[in-house]
Amino acid sequence: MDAQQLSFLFVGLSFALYIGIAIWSKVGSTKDFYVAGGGVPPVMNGMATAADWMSAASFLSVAGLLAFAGRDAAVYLLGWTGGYVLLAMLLAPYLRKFGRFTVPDFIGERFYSKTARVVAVVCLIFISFTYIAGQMRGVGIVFSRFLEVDIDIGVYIGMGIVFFYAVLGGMKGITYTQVVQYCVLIFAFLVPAVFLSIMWTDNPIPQFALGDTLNDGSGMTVIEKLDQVTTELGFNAYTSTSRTMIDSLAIVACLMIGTAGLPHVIVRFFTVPRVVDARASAGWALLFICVMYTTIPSVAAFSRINLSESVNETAYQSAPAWIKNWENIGLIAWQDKNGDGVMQYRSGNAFSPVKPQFSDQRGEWGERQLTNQLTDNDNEIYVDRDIMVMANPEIANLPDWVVALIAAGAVAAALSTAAGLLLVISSSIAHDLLKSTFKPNLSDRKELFYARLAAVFALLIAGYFGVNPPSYVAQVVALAFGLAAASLFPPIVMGIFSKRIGKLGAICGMLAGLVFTLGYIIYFVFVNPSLNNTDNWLLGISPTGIGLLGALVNFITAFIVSHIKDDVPNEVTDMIDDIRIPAGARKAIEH
Amino acid sequence: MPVEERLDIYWNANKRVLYTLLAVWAFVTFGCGILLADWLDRFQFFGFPLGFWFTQQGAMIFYVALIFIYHFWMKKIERYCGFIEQDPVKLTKQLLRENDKGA
Repeated sequence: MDAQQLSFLFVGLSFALYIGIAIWSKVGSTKDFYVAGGGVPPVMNGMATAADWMSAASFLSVAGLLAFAGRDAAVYLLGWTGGYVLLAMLLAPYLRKFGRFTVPDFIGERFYSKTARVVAVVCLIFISFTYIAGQMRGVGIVFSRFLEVDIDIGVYIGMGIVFFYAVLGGMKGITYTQVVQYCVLIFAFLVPAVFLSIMWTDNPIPQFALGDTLNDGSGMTVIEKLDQVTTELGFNAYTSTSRTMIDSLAIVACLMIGTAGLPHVIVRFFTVPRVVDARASAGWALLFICVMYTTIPSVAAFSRINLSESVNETAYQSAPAWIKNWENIGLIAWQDKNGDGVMQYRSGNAFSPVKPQFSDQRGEWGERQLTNQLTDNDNEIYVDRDIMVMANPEIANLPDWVVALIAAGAVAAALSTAAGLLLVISSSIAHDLLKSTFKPNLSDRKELFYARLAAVFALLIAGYFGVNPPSYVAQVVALAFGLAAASLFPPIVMGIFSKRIGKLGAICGMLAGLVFTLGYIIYFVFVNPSLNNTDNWLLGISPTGIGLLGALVNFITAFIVSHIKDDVPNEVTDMIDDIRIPAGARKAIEH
Repeated sequence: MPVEERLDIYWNANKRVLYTLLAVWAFVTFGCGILLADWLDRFQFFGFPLGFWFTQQGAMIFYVALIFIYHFWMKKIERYCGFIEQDPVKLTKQLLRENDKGA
C-alpha cells in the first residue's frame, strides 16, 4: 500500500472509532450533554483536556513557527503552557465548586445580572468562533495533502464526523472521543520525532536530542548546528531573539491569561466529580500537553536543518519529490531569479506579496509560475510554515505508515478542539441565552433539543470558515487568546477573589476590555497593516500581546466602577464564601 | 473549632499557597525565560544555553511540578481544616454495597 492508501486506512479507522464511541455514549439529559454527567475521573479528564486544547495549530503550526522564528517563537511555548498554572490555581477549583454548566453561568450568577451573562455569552461566542475558524482550515490542509481531495470536501468530511459525536454525544461523547484522540495524536507526533532524533543524534528521546551531539562526526550539538545553518544563509541566529523585551513579556502574559480564560478548556473542569479532582486533573492535563510541547522544539530544529540542507543549492529538476508535492498544492513556491535552475534559500521574502499567487503556466524547469512580483534579495523560495510537521516524514524519508499516522494525528487534533468549541457555543446558546435569559420554563428535554440545534448551526458556521479561511492558522488562534485574556479571565478572577466587585463594574470591565483589544487588533491587522510595527504600537506591544493591556483595562474599569456605584448583595457574598471552600461546612452545590 | 474560624484559617492558608507558588511561576517565566535569559545563556545545561533551555523545556517542567505541589499542599490544608470532600461516585457505590448487605 502506498502512503495515500495507508492514510485513508488510518484516518478511516480512527473515524470509525470516534463514531463508535458516539453511539455508545449517546446522551439523554442536559447534565450529560453539558458536563458528561460530572463523573469523569481526573486522569481521563486530563487527557481529554489535553486533546481539547491541543489544536490543529499545536499539531501542525507551532513546530513550523518555532522552526522559522527560532527563539522568538518560544513565547508561544511559555505562554500556552504557563496558563495552566493560573487555571489550576485561580479558576478551576472554584468554578468546579460553583458547579454549573457554563462560564457565562458563573458570571451571570456571581454578578447577579442577566446583562452580565449575555455579555459573557457574546465574548465566549466571539472567542470560540475565532478559534474554530483555524481548526477547520487545519482539517482542510490535512485532507487536501494526504487524501488528495479538495480542501472543501475535506472540511465537509470533518464536519460530518464532528456532527456525529458532538451533536449526539454532547460532552459525554466528546470526553471519551477526546481521550482516544489524545492517544492518536500523541503517538502520531512522537513516532516521527523519535525517528528524527535517532537519525540525527542516535538518541531516541527527542527531549534530549536538541542539546545532544550530532552523529555526522562534526562534533557540534544540534543547537550549534542550527545557529551555524541559519547564520550562513543570512538569517538571525536560531538562538537569538529579535523581539523587544516588553513585547515578549506582554505576549507571554497575554497568552497565559488567555489560556486560562478559554471557555472550552474551563468547562472541561466541570466534568470531574470533586474540587480536589479539578486540581489534580489540571496537573494531568499539563503533563499530557507537555509530553508533546517538550518535543516540539526538537522537531522544529530537525526540520529546519533538514529543510535548509535539502533545498538550498539543489537543482530544481533533481529536487526530492516532497518539494513538488507541496508545490502542487501551493504551500511551496520557487522562482528562478538568477536563471541557474538551482534553488537558493536565503533570508527575506522571495516575492511580494509574500504568499504565492500561481498562474496556470509552468516555467523552464517545470516549476509553477507565479504572478507575484519578485523581490530584490537572493531568496528564491517560499515555504509555508504550516507544512513543517506534515512534511517531516517525507523530508527524512520515513516509511509510508508514519506519513499516514501524521494525517490521522493532525485530524484528531483539529477535530477534538473543534468539537470542544462547538459544545461551549451550543451550551451557552441553549443554556445561557434560551433557558436562563429568555425562557426560564424550558423543560430539560426541550433544552437538550435546542442545545443540539445550536450545535448544528455552530457547525455550519465553522464549516463556512473552513471553506473561506480568514488568515493562517496560528495567527487566528493567537487572536482568540487575546480576546479570552481581555474579556473572560478578569471577571472570573475578580468574582472569586474580591467581594467588592459588583454587577455594573463587571459589565463595564468586560465591554471595555473587549472593545479595546478588538479595536487595537482590527486597526493594526486589518485596517492599517502598513502601520503594524514597533514604532506605532502602544507601549511597543504588538497586537498578539495586546490582550494583556485589554485585561488590565478590564480590571481597572471594573474596580473603579464598582467602587463608585456597586453594592454586592448578601446572597452573593455568601455564595463567594461557599465556592471558596471545597466541602465540609456547607452543602456542596449539585448540578 | 467553629466553622467560621476554620474558614478563615483555610482561606488565609490558601492565599499563602497561591502567593508562594505564583511567585515561583512568575520568576521562572518572566525572570528565567525572558529578563535574565541572556545572562543565563552563559551557562550550559545538557548542551543547551541555560536561558534557552528555560524557554524550550525548563519552564514547562516547573509548571507541571507547581500544579502537583499545589494539589498536594491544598489537600494537606483541607485535611487540617476538616474540609474533606467525599467522592460522590465512590460514595454511591459504597452505599449500594451496604444496601445489598442489609437486604
